[in-house]
Amino acid sequence: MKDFEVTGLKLDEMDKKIVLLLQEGISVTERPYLELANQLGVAEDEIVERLKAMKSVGFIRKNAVATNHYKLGYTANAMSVWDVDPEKLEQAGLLFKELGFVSHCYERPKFAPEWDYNLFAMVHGKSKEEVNEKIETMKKTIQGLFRKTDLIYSTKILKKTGIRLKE
Amino acid sequence: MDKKRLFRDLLDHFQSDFPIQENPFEIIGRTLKYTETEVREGFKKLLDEGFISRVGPVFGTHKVGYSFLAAVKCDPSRVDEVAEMINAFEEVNHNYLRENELNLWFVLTGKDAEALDTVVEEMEKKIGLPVYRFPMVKPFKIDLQVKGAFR
Repeated sequence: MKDFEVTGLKLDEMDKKIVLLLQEGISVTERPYLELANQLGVAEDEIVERLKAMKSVGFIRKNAVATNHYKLGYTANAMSVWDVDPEKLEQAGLLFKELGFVSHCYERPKFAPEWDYNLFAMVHGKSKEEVNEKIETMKKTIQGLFRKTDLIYSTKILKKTGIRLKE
Repeated sequence: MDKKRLFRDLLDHFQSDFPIQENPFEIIGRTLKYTETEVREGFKKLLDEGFISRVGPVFGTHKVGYSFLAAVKCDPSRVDEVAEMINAFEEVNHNYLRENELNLWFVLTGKDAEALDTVVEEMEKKIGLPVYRFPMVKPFKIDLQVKGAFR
């Protein structure tokens, strides 16, 4: 694993070991960090403190539950792409951010003539009708800020794994 | 006990803000008025049934390394074969088949930009198709939370 130094925290060997051992997640036990602490020969609260420190600097983006949204009934998953004037991009992105149903929203580069969209926003729903309604809301939300849009549904997950860090 | 309600409560309240404490399941139980055992059994069931795949830290990709979205225009008849070749690269985390001329969309994550350049070159040779890169210029939102499940 490479050396990571993010604002205010340089990960040491112990941090790296913890990170590598938590890649598959914590165990669902009364004291999930205790076993890990024993394995690494440190106190349980040290593991917790180190994780909190890694989260405070953003190395850990969040401590969370990874869901399978297809399995949870969200079978309509679309990537909406938008052609937005560069000077209006910030405004459009911030407006999309406020919409609760937009899960991810990024600016990405265009490369003409093959790709003429610079704003990406992911939308999920229990049906295509639901997603299409959400897209209509998005069009109204950034009315006048975009030239065109396209909706690209995913039809199959071909691979989905978390990020794998290597030693 | 109402399993559906338990699942809903667990996902509604602790999907993106799972406590970093010695006793996370007890804390969740106290907050949601369930016993610690009920909470653990609930999460185990969600894991076993595949509704969730893991509980734990999610790393910020741009802190951990370098990452970008990429896409390939692949003839429908070659999709399975090409997807298999792409997925064989361990740098590929996600790969989706999508309804577009650019029909394979995947995320590459690696140590740094140079490392991924090498991966892309190798991939292009292997699949015989150009790989389009969509690096992130600016994130406005990253928050995949499934709301409204088990209703």
